[in-house]
Amino acid sequence: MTNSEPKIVAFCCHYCAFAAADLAGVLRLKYPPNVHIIRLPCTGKLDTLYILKAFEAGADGVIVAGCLEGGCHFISGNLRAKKRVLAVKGLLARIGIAPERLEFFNLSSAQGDRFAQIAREMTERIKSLSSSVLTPLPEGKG
Amino acid sequence: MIVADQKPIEEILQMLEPYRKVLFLGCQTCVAVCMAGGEKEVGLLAAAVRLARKHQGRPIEIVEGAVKRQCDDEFNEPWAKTIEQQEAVLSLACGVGVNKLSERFDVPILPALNTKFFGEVERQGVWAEVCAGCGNCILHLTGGICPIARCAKNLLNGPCGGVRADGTCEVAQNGSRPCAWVMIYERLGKLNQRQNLENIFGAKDWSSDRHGGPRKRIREDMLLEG
Amino acid sequence: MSELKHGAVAVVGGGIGGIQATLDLADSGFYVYLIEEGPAIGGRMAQLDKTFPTNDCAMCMLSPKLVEVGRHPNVQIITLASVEALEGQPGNFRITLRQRPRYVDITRCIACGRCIASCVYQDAKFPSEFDVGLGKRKPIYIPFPQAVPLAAVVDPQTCIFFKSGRCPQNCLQACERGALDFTQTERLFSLDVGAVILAPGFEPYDARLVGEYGFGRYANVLTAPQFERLLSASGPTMGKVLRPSDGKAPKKVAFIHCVGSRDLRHQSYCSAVCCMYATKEAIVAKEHDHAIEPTIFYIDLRAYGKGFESLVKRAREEHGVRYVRSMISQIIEIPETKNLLIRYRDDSGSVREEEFDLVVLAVGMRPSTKGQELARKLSIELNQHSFAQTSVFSPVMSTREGVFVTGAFTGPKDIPETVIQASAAAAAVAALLAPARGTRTQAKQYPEELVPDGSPRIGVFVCHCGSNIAGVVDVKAVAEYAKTLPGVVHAENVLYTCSQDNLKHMKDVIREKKLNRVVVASCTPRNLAALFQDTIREAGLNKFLFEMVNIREQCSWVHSDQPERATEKAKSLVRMGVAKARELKPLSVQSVRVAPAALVLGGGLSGMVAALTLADSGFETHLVEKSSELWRDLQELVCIPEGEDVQGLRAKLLRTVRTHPQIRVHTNTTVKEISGFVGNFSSVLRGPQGEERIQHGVVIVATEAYEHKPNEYLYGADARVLTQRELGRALTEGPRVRAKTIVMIQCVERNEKRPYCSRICCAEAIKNALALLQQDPNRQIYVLYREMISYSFLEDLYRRARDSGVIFIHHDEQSLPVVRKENEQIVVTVRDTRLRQEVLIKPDLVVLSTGVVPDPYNEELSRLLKVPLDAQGFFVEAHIKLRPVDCTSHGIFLCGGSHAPGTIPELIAKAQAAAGRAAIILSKGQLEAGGIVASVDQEKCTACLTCLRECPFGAVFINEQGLAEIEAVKCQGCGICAADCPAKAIQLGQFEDIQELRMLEELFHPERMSAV
Ligand code: SF4
Ligand code: SF4
Ligand code: FES
Repeated sequence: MTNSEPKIVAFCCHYCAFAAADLAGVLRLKYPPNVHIIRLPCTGKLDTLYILKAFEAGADGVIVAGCLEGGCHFISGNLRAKKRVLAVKGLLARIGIAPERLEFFNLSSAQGDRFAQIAREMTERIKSLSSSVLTPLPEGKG
Repeated sequence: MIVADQKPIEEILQMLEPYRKVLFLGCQTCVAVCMAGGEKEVGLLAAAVRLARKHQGRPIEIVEGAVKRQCDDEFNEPWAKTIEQQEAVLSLACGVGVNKLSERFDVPILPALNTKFFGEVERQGVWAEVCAGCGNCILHLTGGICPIARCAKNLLNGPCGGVRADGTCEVAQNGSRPCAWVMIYERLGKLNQRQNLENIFGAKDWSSDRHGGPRKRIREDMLLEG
Repeated sequence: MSELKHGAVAVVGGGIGGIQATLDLADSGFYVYLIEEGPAIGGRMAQLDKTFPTNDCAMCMLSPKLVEVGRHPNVQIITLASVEALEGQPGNFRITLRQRPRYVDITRCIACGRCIASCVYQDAKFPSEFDVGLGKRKPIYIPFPQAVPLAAVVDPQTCIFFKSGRCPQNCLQACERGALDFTQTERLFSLDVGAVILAPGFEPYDARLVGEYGFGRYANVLTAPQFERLLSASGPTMGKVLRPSDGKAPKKVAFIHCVGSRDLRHQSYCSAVCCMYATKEAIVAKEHDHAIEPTIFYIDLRAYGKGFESLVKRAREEHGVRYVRSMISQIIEIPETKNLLIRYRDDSGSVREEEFDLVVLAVGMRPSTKGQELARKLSIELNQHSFAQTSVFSPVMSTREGVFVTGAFTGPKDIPETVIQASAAAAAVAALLAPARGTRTQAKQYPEELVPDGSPRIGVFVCHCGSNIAGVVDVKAVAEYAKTLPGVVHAENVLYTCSQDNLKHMKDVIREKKLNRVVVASCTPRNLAALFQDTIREAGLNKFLFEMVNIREQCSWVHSDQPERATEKAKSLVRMGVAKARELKPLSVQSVRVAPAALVLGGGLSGMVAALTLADSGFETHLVEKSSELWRDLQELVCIPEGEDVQGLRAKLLRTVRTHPQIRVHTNTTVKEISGFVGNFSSVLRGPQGEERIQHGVVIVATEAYEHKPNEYLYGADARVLTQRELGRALTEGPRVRAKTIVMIQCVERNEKRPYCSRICCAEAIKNALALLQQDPNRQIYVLYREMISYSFLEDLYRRARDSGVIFIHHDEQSLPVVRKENEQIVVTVRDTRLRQEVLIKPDLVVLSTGVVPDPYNEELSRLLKVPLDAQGFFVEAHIKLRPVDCTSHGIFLCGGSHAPGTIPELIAKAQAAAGRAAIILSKGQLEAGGIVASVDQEKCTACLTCLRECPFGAVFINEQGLAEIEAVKCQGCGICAADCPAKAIQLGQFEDIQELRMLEELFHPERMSAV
């Protein structure tokens, strides 16, 4: 790859976070291109497995973004997701991956700027972590 | 149902230390229901182990699967070929499954779970031990509430002096568990069977429990051979 | 009662208002003739580049609507037509049309442009109407790329054949489809319709008439509509801002407000939109060319709508747009440079001069000649400004029964107001013609669905979106790259994927190449996925064999600073989309019955109007009011306009609502619970008689906004300090006001926390001031203001107040007035920006314009309905421009102050619009269910009950086999169960694990990325 910016996956719920990401575009805000959005109907659909798979696929960070609390289009999806993310954070810590690489956010569809800010912040946050965390130690190649 | 708990990931990683090619095999019955070893957990655990091993620089190849019930050979049989190609199998079943696989296959079968007890679902995410499997049931006398399993001291003639004023057990921290005998008392009251309490239970014959060694049950009429 | 009513409607005018009214009616069971003077629908909005306040791309919003109208089975578009006469009565009209010949058969024309290329005129030399004269066209032309109908048209005024009869007519030969037909003649014909909606729109004020600005004489003085075309990617300069005189990029650009407006020599009223569009154009210009330094010369900055304030703030703070409050006395062209010298009087009164490279005139709106002619032919009355005459209480009704008017025909207004009025007019028509609903319409027919067999054959369409995407992302490279991906058998880049010609092309490709899955990489799926899904369905594919990749909002627009990486990202996104597409499966859809009732929350003016509109359309309506009475307090909810009998309106409304057989009024009632979803809500009302469960298909939130009670300016501490409403009440109900000297303070406590303009306070203050003067002409009245928001016809009222001696003192936002007490005397001081000094007034009465705040009950409703509020506590609409009364959640609609403050006619129109939008759902009777729902693999389910416990909608049940099963109709498709099932027995359609995981696997795939 031509750039060394951290690769980030953002799981966004259709109704709020994804819409906020759209709004960020409409407002022509800027954030690093390495943030890739995957649309879910609701963060309630976020299988904990997806997070681990994202890291396996080479992500340096994972954003899970759903509606504001109380604002989930499906009532409780974001509450479930928040707990799942918390559990995976615990697991990550125990397998040597900084839990800061994973974060859950609540935002409304009107918060385009917040989305861009989150994308920038997570990029910065992950840059500041030791970059070797996910790369295999040299002798283990192959 | 059998309630089990996943072992700490550190322990699992340690068990898997020598191996590079492993089958993670879940069980879709009890341990799926108690969210310790069903197909979902297999996927998660496998991903976590792969990540950890990659991070250690010692990647591991994992085949993932789950069978309906690991305590039956027939369900495991379709996996035979796969199992034989592995350096080891990590079983996400209860101990029964681990034993079963071990009897059948010549590969190391490793337990991913700590099998704990027979339990009920108190509410989603909470499982409680309510039966001890002692082999000699007296629930008809105790209003359906098992003193062996639910009294910390397995008392047959409770309660002990440790019951707190609020009806909780002295053994459990900060009143987190009700005294089984208080429950029995109240339940019998509701059923109008308080007179049951007048019977003093004699000393319990523990021979039916696992203190007498591993148990077996046979139902002659269902035997297919002979 | 059984008089004949026609189930068809004539909508005259194909701008955004006419389009909205058309779609609303066509979707709710009426056949619509959409009659347009020009060769294509789209109106003024089609010519806009961006729209305020979100700077959304106008064409992106409009184009799908154009396409929808063009494809709608219940709409017939009649272009180049004008209305000649209207006979008959409401319900049973006969409308006579005159249709000019197009000389092109639109059913044959494929808009290939060969005729245009072959025209004897080698170069386009006639001013293009669409590009407001800045671009050129030939005598035969296609109005604009997204035009509907998309076909060429011959202009007989410029065509040599018609002018001289001697032309080789190359075009005839060039057309391979034989679409040209020079024998066509004018046609006169009549149609039977039940009602008519007039939406002829406006005309920009002719800047030539404002001689001092030199438009038409000075090359570098443009009108705002012209400048808009310069900004447009599809405009004459492809979005580059260039000076007409020398084609150079200008640096200093001046925008001059109120050209032709607020001026007795021209139009006395305020055109209501210029302040905002000029701000928008200034920002967009800056975005297009960073070197541009925009300056806005304005009189009052009227940022009174939702989100306007923050746009102006952004313009100032982020884009460095300079605002100068001033009167322009003259513009002089400097002959050598063609630069323009602006002479103006600034705030302090001193005259200054400044040189600019380009001047843009923010011309106002004037009533269109078409509209005036229409009015004459249809005998409807016009007001003193020659806009359609309406009344405060019937904002979309003309003076002729059965003829409705909407949009800028009724007065200057912006797009959302136009859309609201259009929906309101459609609702009024639907109510009038309720018995005839469905008599003229037919359901859309689709071909048999093909069963996808064999391996995936994916088609990928990568959109340029004009320059929106292609300006940043190398779309060609993305399309080429897509071709290399497994499963892809077709990939191409397209100028506008959503254009009608491309949709047709897509269908052809699907058939020709036997595609069984389609990926579109363009804008957000939130807007257009349905359109593409319908298109592939028309080609025989199940509509779920479709995946949309967002490379605009989530790529080109946010990464325009890094085009290469944006291209890489677009490739990744396409790769993921294709990976998902490979795993897509067809999903089935069933119909569900709609509960034919409505729940209206809030029994104020808006709630009552909404309930009546719905009830008149034939739907049972529950009107729920938490207090003991409907519209309890006359003055609490609304600002009473001058001279209108609001008391009478209230009495009439109360009477009709109370006695309407279709309305059930629930006072003293709150909502305890709302469950379900569009078409099938189930709510528990808690009232004096206990709890009651009702079933309804739609919800209308109609809470009102209330006057804010301030903490400042001695309010509450001194009886001589009142709010405007309190003064209004005293003026109508007594006790008599005795004060001689009165100070009114505007925008009280309008601050960061409450930044929005309440829209009504200025008019209220002016009205009260005039009433005070009427009682006693010797009074001294001072109005201290930041901006006077007397938009549209309210400007006349403002002028009357000034002429009557009310003194208006402008102060800065930074130097607010101070009110204090000196020995029982109230003293007000303020720094007057014009005088540049402190002014001291000793009034007997201080009146505070405090603005309005939303009902605090909104918070609870927001929770119950699961729909968001904005930071100020107003409900958020689905789309600020085009879906102003829809909520983000389907089946929920907004009106009243729940959504934004408004005047009585605005509130009434909004309530009618919300009711009309809701009635569309109710009139359908059936909605589609299924599709994206969860289902349980019975083989895998271990009956752990997790899903049963978790489903927020109670969609899971345990079947006879003792296993979990999901009721498709109830399932909302959240996927909570699928994510938590420990046996992985549940999959959610369109979001199956395999689909998601494949996307993740492909996400960062360096090998594939470098492969191209
Ligand atoms: S969660 Fe899964 S296993 Fe449990 S009942 Fe539902 S479908 Fe069956
Ligand atoms: S996806 Fe599952 S949890 Fe969500 S509504 Fe459907 S059945 Fe209920
Ligand atoms: S819909 Fe956004 S989190 Fe559930």
